[in-house]
Amino acid sequence: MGGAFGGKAGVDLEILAVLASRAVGGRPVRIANMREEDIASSPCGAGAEVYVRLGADGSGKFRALEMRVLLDTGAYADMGPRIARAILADCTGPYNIEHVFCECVTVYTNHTYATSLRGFGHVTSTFCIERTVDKMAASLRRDPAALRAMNLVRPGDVAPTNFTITESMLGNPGACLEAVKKLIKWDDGCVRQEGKLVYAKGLAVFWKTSSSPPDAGSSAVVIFNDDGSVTLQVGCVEIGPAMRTTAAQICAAALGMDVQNVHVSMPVSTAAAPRHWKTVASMTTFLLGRAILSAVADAKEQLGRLAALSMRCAPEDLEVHGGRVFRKSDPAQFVEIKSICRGFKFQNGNTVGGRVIGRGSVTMQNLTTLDRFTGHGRAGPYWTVGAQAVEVLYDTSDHSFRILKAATVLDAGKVMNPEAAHAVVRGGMGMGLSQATREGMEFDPSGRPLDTSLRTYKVMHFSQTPEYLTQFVETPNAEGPFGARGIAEHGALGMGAALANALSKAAGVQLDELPVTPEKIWLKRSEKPL
Amino acid sequence: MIAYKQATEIKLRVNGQICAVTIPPNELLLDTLRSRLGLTGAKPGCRNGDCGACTVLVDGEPVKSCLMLTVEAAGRDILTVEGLQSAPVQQAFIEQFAFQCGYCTSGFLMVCHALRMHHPDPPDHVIDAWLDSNICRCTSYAEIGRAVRSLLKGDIPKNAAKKNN
Amino acid sequence: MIPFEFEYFRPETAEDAVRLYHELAQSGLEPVYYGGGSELLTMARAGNRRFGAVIDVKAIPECAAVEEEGDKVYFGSAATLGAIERSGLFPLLGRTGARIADHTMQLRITLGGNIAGTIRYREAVLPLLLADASMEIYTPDGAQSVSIHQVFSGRLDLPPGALLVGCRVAKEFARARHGHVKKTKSEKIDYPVATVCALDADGYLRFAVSGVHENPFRDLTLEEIFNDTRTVPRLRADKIVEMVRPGAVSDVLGSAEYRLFTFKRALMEIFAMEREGAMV
Repeated sequence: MGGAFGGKAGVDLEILAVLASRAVGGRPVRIANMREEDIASSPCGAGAEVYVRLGADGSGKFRALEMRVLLDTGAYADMGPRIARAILADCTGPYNIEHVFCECVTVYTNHTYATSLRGFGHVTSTFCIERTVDKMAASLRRDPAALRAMNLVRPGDVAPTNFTITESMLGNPGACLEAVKKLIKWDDGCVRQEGKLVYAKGLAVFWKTSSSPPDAGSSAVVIFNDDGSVTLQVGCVEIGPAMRTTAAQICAAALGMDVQNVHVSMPVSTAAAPRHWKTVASMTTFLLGRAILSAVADAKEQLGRLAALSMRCAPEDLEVHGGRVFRKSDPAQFVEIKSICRGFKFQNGNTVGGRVIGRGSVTMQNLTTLDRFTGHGRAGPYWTVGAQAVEVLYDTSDHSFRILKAATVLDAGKVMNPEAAHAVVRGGMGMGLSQATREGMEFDPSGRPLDTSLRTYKVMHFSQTPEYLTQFVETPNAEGPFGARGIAEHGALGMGAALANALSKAAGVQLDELPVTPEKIWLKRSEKPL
Repeated sequence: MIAYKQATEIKLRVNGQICAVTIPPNELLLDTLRSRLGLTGAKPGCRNGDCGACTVLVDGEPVKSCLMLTVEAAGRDILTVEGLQSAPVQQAFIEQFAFQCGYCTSGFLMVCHALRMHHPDPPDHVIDAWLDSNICRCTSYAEIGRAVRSLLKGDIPKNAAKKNN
Repeated sequence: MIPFEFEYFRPETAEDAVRLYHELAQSGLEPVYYGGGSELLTMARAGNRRFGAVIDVKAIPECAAVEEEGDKVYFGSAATLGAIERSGLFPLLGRTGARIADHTMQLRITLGGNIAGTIRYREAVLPLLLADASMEIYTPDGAQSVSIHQVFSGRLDLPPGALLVGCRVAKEFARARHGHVKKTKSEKIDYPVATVCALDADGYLRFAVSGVHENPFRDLTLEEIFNDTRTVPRLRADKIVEMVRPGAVSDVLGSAEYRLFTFKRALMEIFAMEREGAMV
């Protein structure tokens, strides 16, 4: 139970539990960290120091990008090198930049070790690129939204790791940017002073593909029960984003059934359940969804063969929908699934076939490792793109600020479950804003973590939250289930960037470090020459 | 004067039922509820009073059970999330999709339930103050805010109705 | 879970509490007085504090009371911050207490626990310092009343085993116009970078500070500067900041220099409240 946000992608305490269990002859062993132990010694999100240099021509077209990333993976490599690779694969952000140099080095330090954390490096890279784009806009005296719009990547452009992008892979970043501008009322102005208070808005655009192993996959089993309902067995663990509901919806939609009649089996047995890669990377709907569709197709094929015996026709003349197998040319000819899902019984009692059990397995396709030297290759199957905006109220007298509004428009391909989708995007935004303003592991000079309890490591609380505005654009992902793209992480990706863009404008200083705090703003302002 | 020098049997009234537990004086209410009474709704999130996942009601007031000795709760009315089975607050949270992983949810349900009892029509700053007692990592709190407001206004439809954002 | 055993007592009179304390101490059991318990239990769990017995004082009527007594108001040491705020008897104390912790915790944290605790901020003491509170103590010699200034200079200094029973404040101070400014690092509910409480005593502004130095303080010399109408408020604030500079703390919540900046902002906000008639 409990969320993960990537923290359960690797093994941490499990190793200790196995060792401890072996030491006592295989008896069950329970390891529980106190919160302080968890914060200090279980893995955290990777920190980074990044150098970015962006070149544009006079018209504002981005021409060249140089990016050097030092990723702090702490004491152990764990996911660090993979995060570095993920940053590299998407380093430009959703922009078309012809000349790209990007180097990501994972560095061992004596800090708490790092693992995947929502965004898998993309919060870092989005922050760095988007701060740079805002600086470029100021330098060129262009509206930050217009500068972004003219440089957004389009179908036919070449990805940073050197392959051609299609609309199916990409979605529509331009539509997201236009929509988020409306949500935040960008055209009404993005800075306004009222006495000692300043209202300011900041933008960010993002994209993310997963950087999974090329053979990451999922599987599902669809079993028909006697009453015609379906038991759906999956290996994916539910940790909050309602993936079990989505799984049931996909299965039900593919069968034309009421979702109430699809029973997703619980709990997941690691010994017996059909394997799923991991509940990470916003790839569950994609991988598991495809596996379910594959299992449903397999089940339909079996149902078709059984029904064909009854209906005396070729299986390809039949369709499965709404609890029935019916003749395409004459839907009035049908058999109920529940009458054949254990096999077909002839009039004299002879039975052929057997329980209909549909199985589906899928894997990531066409992925490669990235060339060590050129970085060329293909890291992920498609992108999810989006645009975000934040409006802040900044107090020039003490540098404190209040986040008023936060907006996200992302291209979901196909929204599977609207309530869940808005909620998980908002959840990501909340996490992104909390991280950008309050969170971060700080260490003393000898490497000891300073904040090890929730008393001093603060997260955002209820009363401090902004108004959240979320919206979806739907450009189908041809290989996603019903056209869907993953959306679980993405709310977090550009929040820090949009916030820092807004506050940099409001405070008149360059805020290039997260978290942003009143003290850091004060320090920057104190350093400004008078 | 009440004195507990070693493990003693005390009576607790939990969710309307009297239970007898034999506990040492240093036992925390959270652990008695979870380990002895099997009421695992209240969760240990920090054991430091900072997260609110362990919140239960004692005589109708929200209490962080990780910071109360069980002996202090003897003879008092304890309500845990298991005692909220048919309470409207549960339906409000379902309607508004106000939970994801669920770890903080029990604590929020208790606080919202108590808030409604104490302040049937509270101003925003009172809602803020009460709900600032609990943290959530998965949600943005927006849905929790909607759930508690729908609870206070009393407009919770019986059937799940899909709403657009 | 607390990693050591201890005994639990709940006396019903101050006399019993104090006698019990000394008996337990004599027998080597290391007793502590127990109010809300949040600090004792969190420190015990973390291995930072150990004790052999807790003496829960919440059942002692004088410790739990929150009431008016003629021209004074009285708060028991085991009165919760929540109860004090709800009573409305000393609004500055109510407001200050309300910002110490979250709502649920305020229903447990006691006045005595906050003032006598190890955590250095002790914000609840600030209004008491401004109101020249008298502290009701109980020792083996019986009940005594002492001025807060005699027993609190940064920390509460009582003889071992003495029980803080409650505090008494004159109504003229409890009802006086006042201001409270609390600045935190980022999140609303947090330890202070700087908290300043101010109280208008017949046109003269008293103020007390928590967070800037190691311990909370009220300094009469600084108050004179604060009220010196011969200079503009900004210069008064600058002078106070310079005098306070040597003891300013640097930690995860903020550097010393930032603390002093924040402290100055708080002072200026108090001046602004005064000027705009916003002190209520």
